[in-house]
Amino acid sequence: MGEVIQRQFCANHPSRVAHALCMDCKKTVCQECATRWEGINYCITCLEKRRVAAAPSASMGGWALLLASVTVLFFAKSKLMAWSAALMVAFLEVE
Amino acid sequence: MKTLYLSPLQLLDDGFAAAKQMALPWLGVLWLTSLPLTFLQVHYWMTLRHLGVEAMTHGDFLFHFSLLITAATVPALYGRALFVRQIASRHGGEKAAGELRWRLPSGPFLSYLSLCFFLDVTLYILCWTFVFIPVAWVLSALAAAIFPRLQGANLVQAVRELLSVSDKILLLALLGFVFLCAWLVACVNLYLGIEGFLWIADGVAGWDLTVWQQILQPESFFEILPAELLPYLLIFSAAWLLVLPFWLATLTIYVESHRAQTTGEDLHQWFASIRGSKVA
Repeated sequence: MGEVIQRQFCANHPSRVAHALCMDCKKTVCQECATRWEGINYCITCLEKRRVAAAPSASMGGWALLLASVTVLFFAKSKLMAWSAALMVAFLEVE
Repeated sequence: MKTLYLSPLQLLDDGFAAAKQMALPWLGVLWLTSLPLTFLQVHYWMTLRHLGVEAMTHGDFLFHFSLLITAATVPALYGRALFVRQIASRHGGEKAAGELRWRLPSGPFLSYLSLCFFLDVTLYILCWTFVFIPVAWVLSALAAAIFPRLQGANLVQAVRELLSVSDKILLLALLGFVFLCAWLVACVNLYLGIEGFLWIADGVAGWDLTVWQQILQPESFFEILPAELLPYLLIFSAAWLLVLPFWLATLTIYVESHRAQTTGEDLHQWFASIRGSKVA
């Protein structure tokens, strides 16, 4: 006796017939929800996870440089704010 | 991305609609995170007013006060980044995951923070030219608007991103002028609102508010440095807080539309809408 093939539907759109199988979460998805990346089908959620994971991450040097620049700019901004405010008030008072 | 070109009226309309949609809770978050900075700035101006020429001899005190204000800038920038990210994701039709909505990626946020500090430092160095003051005002709001597009911890990339969206100078100048007018209108409305409240409180409730009525006299409102500075500084700051969400929302829509125009996404969506209307 032959095996009955069951029709599968999209996990996001239950009314639509499944078109592909996501290779990460194994959910069936319709044509709209499936995206082929490097020859493999993924659903939108798994593709987003992969995109975030593949995003360029800064090196330790980059982080250290940025933290140093934030610290320097923090103090430089405060110092310049105090100077310019004092100068402005002195200028206004003299005027 | 409703239009194929960046129209100022369309941007204002979309920005207003986007800021209205954000009413809860993001508008509240934006205001709450901005309040400490606003109050500290008002207090700073009042202190300077009291010190007068003596301010030159109180360098250490002013520096420590400035450090406090710079520290209060961090939560204000966090609120702006959250608000802008929500507007950008709604504009792009995305829906952020619930548990991640309060968290900001640390790399892009640090880049954004350093970019804002860098702009402030440039402003304090170049403020004597006066021309750079409105430029820095627009650029600091644009820095918030590009936040959703920042990737990783990289100040150079943040500066490049800011410069890439600053090419439509006339449009940005026009938007800046519109929001400057909006701020002035908000100032007058707030002032009249307080006057009306005092009038009702005095006439109907019978409270003695003579001091406040003297402080808020119309003739002292138009003086450059009125004797009682505090109420006016508070009105200016409150009016700015009212205008701020719409200003940020409009610039976020501008940045997103600019990106769509650069990548060709707007043409893709336009084609999809035409195809959709033909099928319907």
